[in-house]
Amino acid sequence: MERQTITQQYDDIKQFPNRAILFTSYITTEVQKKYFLSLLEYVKTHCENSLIVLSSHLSVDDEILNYVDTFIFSKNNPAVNRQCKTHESMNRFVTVFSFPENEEWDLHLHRPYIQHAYAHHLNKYDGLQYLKSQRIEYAHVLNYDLQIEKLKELNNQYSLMKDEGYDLIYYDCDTWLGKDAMNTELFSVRTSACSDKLLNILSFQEYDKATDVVHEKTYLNLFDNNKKFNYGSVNKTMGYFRFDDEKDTNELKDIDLINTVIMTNVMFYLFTLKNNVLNKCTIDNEFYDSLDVTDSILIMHNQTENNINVNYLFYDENFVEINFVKNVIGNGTFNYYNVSNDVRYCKVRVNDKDKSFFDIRDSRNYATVVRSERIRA
Amino acid sequence: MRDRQTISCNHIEGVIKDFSDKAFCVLSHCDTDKKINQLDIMLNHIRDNFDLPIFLFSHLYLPKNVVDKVDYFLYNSNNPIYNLDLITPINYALTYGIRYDLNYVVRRKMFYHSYAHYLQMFDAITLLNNQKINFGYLLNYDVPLTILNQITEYQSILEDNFEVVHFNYQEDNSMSTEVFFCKVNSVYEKIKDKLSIQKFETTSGQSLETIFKILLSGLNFYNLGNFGNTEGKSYIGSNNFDFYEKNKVTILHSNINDLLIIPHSFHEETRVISLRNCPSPRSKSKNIKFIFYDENFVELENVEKEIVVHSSCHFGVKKEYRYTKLFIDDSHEIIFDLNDENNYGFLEKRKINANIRL
Repeated sequence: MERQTITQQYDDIKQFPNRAILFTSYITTEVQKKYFLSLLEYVKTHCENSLIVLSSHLSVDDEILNYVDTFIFSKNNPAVNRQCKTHESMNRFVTVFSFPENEEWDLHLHRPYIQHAYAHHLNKYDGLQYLKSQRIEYAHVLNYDLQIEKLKELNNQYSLMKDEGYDLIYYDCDTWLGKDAMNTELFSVRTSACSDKLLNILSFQEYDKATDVVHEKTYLNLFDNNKKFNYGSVNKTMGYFRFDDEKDTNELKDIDLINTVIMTNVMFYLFTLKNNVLNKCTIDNEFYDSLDVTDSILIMHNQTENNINVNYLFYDENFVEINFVKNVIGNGTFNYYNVSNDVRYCKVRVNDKDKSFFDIRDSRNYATVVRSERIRA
Repeated sequence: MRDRQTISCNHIEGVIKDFSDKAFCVLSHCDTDKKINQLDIMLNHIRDNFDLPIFLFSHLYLPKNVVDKVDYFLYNSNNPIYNLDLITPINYALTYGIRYDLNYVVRRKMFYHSYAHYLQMFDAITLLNNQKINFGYLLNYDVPLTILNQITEYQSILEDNFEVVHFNYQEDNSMSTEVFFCKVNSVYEKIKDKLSIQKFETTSGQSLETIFKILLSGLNFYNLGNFGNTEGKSYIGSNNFDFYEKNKVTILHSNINDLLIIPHSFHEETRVISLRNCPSPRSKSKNIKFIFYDENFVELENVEKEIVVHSSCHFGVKKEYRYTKLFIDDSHEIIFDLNDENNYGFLEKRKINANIRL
């Protein structure tokens, strides 16, 4: 197969290889950059004859570009249920928090799940389309923060594709998503196997139609007719960084929507019992327009293995701090806090790091509340 | 309607914002701050005047503040130059020539960027096609911004059953590749399998302008005629497609701003640098200055001369001179090693119908 030419000295021709390492990245800190550079150094020295391609929604430093053959930057980075929402996506719930209202009734909090699945897909779409256009058949698709141990498995995965004809080599997510899901932080794939489905999904409408709630299930479905090799289970994440890892600055300055999963294994909800208690959860714009955003309540649910220190900093309209609340939430328990109607903004600090800074009076931050009769055994 | 990339959508309210069916593709090769600034001005102009996505392509790194202005940036480090990285049976004999005296012509391999430039066009068309964008406006970063004033007119020509709208180029069956407007899928279908140098060289053309036109054979072309005072030559843009670093000792380019520079007589007691100021729509009289250095970069001599368009001149160079720095009109252009034989051409007996590119 004739690919892009690098050099030619008469009959001695060097062209793009038939194997590529496709990284996707989202680097916002020096620590992340340093870690990614170590990964790039590893693949440069251990994965011979492989094109290194980087696909990112953020521009990157020259230090990183020094290692890559091709860099694809795409600024568009839409989050599901922020920039992109459908009736289905708004009502596709990933977390629910239930607690007793009284002896007879339970309350259940639901909030549309903000996720980056479509934006992640766009990174992979761009990278894999590029490889396909360059006629490169074998691709290892990796996140920038993968544990370096995992890279040692790439050469074997390449052999499985090249010598044994597998289309997809993937890791299970059985410890956290059950079967029928693939870890999308690392997989190896033949680009020709992506043509039927994955590379036909470009718009959010197309992605949303194909989605199986979580990205990891959606992606495995896209290869249902291909020859797959399951490389075994992994823990919940193969990445080195988590979204609650230390940033270059721990201080949040800009108001943003609440992310329900405020940090790993810690859920955070804002709601009111005034006029949004429903019999059945259906979220639409009318719900948000009609919401009375007063008499608000905060709930934080700690599912980590440790106690956490939580501070709520409340501000008025002019961002003048008017209240400071300290709490310790034991592991496996939750904290319930009634918010004064005099405050406007709230900053949430967990273990001395800012996790959220939001507008208490923005209805989009509110969870819906469903009341149901307690089921007794 | 084709489902393009979604920027934002609220299906509940029926509001959808996705990529347009038209896009700008800016092809760049900016090796100096001045050129980066020129690119920056073009990007600002497009952003200020058009609500269309911008795709930027480069074989060189670009600063973050420039990259952040576009919707897509594709950096491809592979930038193979003919007669430097690519020696092919078809083009190995491609040379520039300067008449030395009545009997001899000085020749040196011509460095040519046609394939590297083509790779940018291939990436541009492929990326737009993958994004299901129907119309592409491809332009080099250094073309005059006034071209953009006529975009509506070019678009209507495309919609009037034409597939490529382009400016004239001087050769038969050719088109200017510095700027053109096209139906993306039509062009994609023609070039999608033409990726390697072997496939690129399958046409009878030698210039990029001819090769590309032949690759697109069968499409419906609309020739806008000469751009401005270019007389159909490939000079719509204002810069050469350089590939060297100005402040490092580097291989001598064969043509800098229409000035041919060919050192020769490497093994003679007195080496010679022959120069010719070639005619082009933008050419003008040039003040040439060489500063010669020893191996420790101690300055030994400098020589200066005015060369009018169409004329040639020859400088004698002592063997003890190791490096030289060339200035054109007081602008530092290049430093090269006088002891590196790769920078040298050769004398050839004059013959009729030689492959001379003056």
